[in-house]
Amino acid sequence: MKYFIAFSLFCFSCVAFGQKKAELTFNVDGVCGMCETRIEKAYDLPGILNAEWDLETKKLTVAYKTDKFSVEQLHAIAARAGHDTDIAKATVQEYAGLHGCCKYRDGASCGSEGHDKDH
Amino acid sequence: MTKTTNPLRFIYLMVLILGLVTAVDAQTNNLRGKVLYESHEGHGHSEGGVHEPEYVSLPGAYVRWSSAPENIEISDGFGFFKINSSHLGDTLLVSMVGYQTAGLVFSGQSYVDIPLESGVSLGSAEVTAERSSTRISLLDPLNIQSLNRKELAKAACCNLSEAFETNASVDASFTDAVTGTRQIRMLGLDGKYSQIQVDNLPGPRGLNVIQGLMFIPGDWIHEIHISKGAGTVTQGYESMTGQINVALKNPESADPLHVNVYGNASGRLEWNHVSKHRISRRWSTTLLSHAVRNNQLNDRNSDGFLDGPLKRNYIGRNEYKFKGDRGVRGEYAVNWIQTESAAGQVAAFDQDVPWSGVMDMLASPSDSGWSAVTAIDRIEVSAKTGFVFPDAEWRSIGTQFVYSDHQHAHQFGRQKYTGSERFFRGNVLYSGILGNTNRAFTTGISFVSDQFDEKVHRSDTLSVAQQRDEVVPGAFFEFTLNHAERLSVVAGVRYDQHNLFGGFWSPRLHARWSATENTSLKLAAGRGFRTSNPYMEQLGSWASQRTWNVNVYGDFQPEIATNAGLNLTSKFRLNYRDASLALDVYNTWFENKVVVDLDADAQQIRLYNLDGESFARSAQVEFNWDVHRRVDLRIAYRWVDAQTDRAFGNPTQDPFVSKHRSFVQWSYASALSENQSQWLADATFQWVGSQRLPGTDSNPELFQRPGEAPGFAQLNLQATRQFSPSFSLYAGVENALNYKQDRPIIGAVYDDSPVSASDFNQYFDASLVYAPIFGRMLYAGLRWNILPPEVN
Repeated sequence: MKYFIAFSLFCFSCVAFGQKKAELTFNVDGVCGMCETRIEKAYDLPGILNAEWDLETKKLTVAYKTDKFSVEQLHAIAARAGHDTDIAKATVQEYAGLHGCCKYRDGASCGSEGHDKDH
Repeated sequence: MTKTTNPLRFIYLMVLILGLVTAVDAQTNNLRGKVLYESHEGHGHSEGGVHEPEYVSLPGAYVRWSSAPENIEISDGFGFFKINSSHLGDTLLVSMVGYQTAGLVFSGQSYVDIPLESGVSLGSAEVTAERSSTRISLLDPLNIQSLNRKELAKAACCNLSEAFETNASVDASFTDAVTGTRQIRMLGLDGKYSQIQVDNLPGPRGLNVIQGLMFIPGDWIHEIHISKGAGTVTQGYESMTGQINVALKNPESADPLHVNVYGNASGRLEWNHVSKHRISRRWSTTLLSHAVRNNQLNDRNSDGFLDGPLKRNYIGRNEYKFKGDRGVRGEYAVNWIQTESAAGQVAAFDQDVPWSGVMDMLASPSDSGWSAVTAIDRIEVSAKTGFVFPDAEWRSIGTQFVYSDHQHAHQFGRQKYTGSERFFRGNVLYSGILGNTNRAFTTGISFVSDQFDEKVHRSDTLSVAQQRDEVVPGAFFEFTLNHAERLSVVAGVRYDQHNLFGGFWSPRLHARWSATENTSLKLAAGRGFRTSNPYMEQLGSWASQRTWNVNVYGDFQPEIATNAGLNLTSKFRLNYRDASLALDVYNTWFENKVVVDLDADAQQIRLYNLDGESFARSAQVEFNWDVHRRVDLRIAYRWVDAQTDRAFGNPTQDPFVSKHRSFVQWSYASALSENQSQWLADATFQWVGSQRLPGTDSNPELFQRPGEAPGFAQLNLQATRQFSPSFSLYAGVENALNYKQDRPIIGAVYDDSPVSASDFNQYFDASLVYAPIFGRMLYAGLRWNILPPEVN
C-alpha cells in the first residue's frame, strides 16, 4: 500500500503541481475559535494550499507556493486581518476591527476550549 | 384491502403539521427556557458510535434582557427560567460565574435552550468545524462508515433505497423495469443478507425486506452507519455481510423544524417534514411525516409501459424521548406506513379514473393491459429503555422491544399475493466491566416471534398457502478488550433455539490493530443465519410471467453463512491536504442458501436449497482526498466474484452482479459568505461493469436477450444554492449521459414488431434489469429549516 501512496503522490505531483511548494509554521496571536476562523479565512487565497491555526499553541501552519508568496507576505496576511505575528503587527485600525472577545492585546480570553474541537 | 383514498389527505396532513408547529411556536407573554452546560466528557460509545455531548442543567444562572438589565431572573434547581418577553431583536443575556456569558437574539421564541460554555467570557458566534461528510473511524474495531446529512444531500435522495448512489460499499439497482422498486447489494450479495436497522432496532426485514428501504424517507435520516462484516451479536443472528444502521432524526439531532418539498419531471411530488417539540423537562418528541404522490402517466420510451408507478404513500412517525434525572432514558416510537402504487401497461390505465378506481385493480385487474398494483399497510411500535447506574456509569441495563404488523397485497397481472407478518422482538442487555473499563462486556437474552401467512393466487385459483410461526429465544455474550489504544477486540457469541430448525451458534469476532497513529488494520469474522421469504425477496420476479416453482426439492432450510474480511485504512497528507485510503477484502461462504434459479427455465423461477458451493468474494479500494479548500475528490473501485452452484449444471456466476464497479466523485463548496450563503455542487461519475443475465435462449428470437449485459457509465450532477443555513434550493440531473438499458421488458413492443397477446402471456418478463431504464431525469427541490436558537 505504501507503494500505492507513493505512486499516487508521484503522479499528482508531476501532473498537477509542478511549482515549488513549502510549509511554514509561525506564531499568530489570537484567543478563540472565532479568531481561528478569521485567521484561516484570511489565508483563503490562490497560492495557499492549506492553512491551519492551532488554538492551543497559537501556531499557524501554512502550505504555500513559493513563487506566489514570500515569508514576509505570509506574516503580513495575518496582521492585515488584525492578528500579530512575530515580525508583522496589525495597525491600530486593523486591531480595532476585531470582535471584543478576540482582543488579545487587551487580555481577552475565551477559555482554552474551542467550540470546534473534537474530543 | 382496497381502500378509497381521500385526495385531500395530503393537504390535511400538511395543514395539521403546520398548525401544530404554529401552535407550539405561538407568541406568549413569557419566554421560558433552560440553562445548560454542555459537557464533552460524556463517556460511552453510544448508539452507532456517535459521541453525543451530555447536557447538564445549570441552576442559579442570571437571565436578563440587554434592554432591561436591572430585571434579573435566576434559573431554578433544574436550570429552568421564565422571563417576560421582550421586543424582537432584543438580546437575552445569560451569565454565571465560571461560564462564558451567552447572548441570544430574541426572535419570538417561547422556549429556548441556552448552553453555556465553561470559561470566563465569550461573545463569539458558534464556530462549528466542517466535518467531512463520510467518516471512517480509525479506532472503532468495527469497519463502520458513517454518512451524514451532507453526504446524503449529494444524491437526489428521496428515501433510503436511493441513498447509496454515491457509496462504493453498497450497490443499488432496480428489482424490475415496472415498479420502480430498488434493492441493494453488499459485498456482492443481496441486501437480505445484510442486517438493516433503524435506530439500532430491526429495520426492513421479513416480508418488508425490499420495500422497507423505500419507507425510510431521506429527510428523516440523521446519519447512516454502514458496517461491513458480521457485526455485533447483541442485535441478533441475521447479519451476514454487514449492517446498515439508520439513525433517524430524534429530539436531540433534529432541527426545530425541517421541511423539504421535491418534484421531478416525471410528476413525482414529495413532502417531508421533521419537527421537534419539548413536552416537559424530561419528555421531548419528534414528529416526522412524508407524503408522495404521482398521478402522471408517463411513457417516455414508448414501450407501452408506465415509466414509473403511480403512487400514494403516507408515512408518519412519532417518537418520544425520556431523559430522567436518575440515569433512566427511554425512546418510544410509533411508525405508520400506508402505501399504494400502480404500474404496468399504459393501456391498463385511464387518465380520468380516480385513485380509488386504480386501486380497485387490486381485486379485479384490468382486461386492457398488464398491471401491477400494490398496497401495503404497516404499523411499528418500539420501546427502548435504558438505565445507567448513577454511581457506576460503566454499568447499564437496557431493554428493547419492537412489534410490527405488516400487511401486503399485490396483483401483478393475473398473479395475486397476500402476505401478513407479525413480528415481535424483545432484547434485554446488561453491560458491565471486568476489573477496569478496558475490559467491558455486554450480555443478555432475546426473544423473537415471527408469524407469516402468505397466499398466492394464479388467475383466482389458490396455488400456494403457507404459514410459518417462528419462535426463537436466544442468549448472547460479548466481550470488548482495549489494549493500550493499539489494539481492541470485540468477541461475541450467541445461541438461538429456533422452534422449527433447532439450535444455532453465531460466533463473531472483530479486532482492530493500529499499526501507527494514522493506519489501522481491522479483522472481522462471524457466522449468521436467517430464514427466507422468497416471495418478497424476489419481488422483481413478480413482474414477469414466470411461475413460482417452490419447494419442489423439499422445504427451505435456513440460510447460513460465514463471513470473514480484512480492512486497512490509512489517513495521510497529500499535497499538504488530508487524504485517506481504505482497502477491503471480504469473503462470504454459504453453508446453506435458498438458491434463486432463473436460468433453468425462462418461464419459471425455481427455488431450492443449495446443493454444492456458494460464495461471494469482494475487494474494494477507496481513496478520499481533500484536494483544495473547496474541492473534495473520492475515487473508488470494487470487485466482486459471486458464485452459486445451481441444479442442472447451470452457470454458477450469480446474475445481476457486476464484477467491476468504480466511481469518481468531485464535490465543490464555495466559501461561506458573510450571511452564510454558499454554492455546493457535486458530480458523480460511475462505471458499472458487465453482468451475467439469466438465460432466455429458449424463447423465440424476439423475446431473447443477450446473456451478458454490457458495461455502462452513469453521471449524476447536482447543484445547491444555500441562501442561509435555514433555506436552500437544489436542482440536479440524474443519468446525465442518458444511458438506457436496451429493450428492458421482454414482451413490450419495440421497433414496431407486434407482440400477440398469447406471446405476451407466455414470455413477458420485466425482471431482467441491469441498468437505468429511463434516460436523463431532471429534478429540483427546496429545504427549509428553523434552526436551533443561536448563541451569540
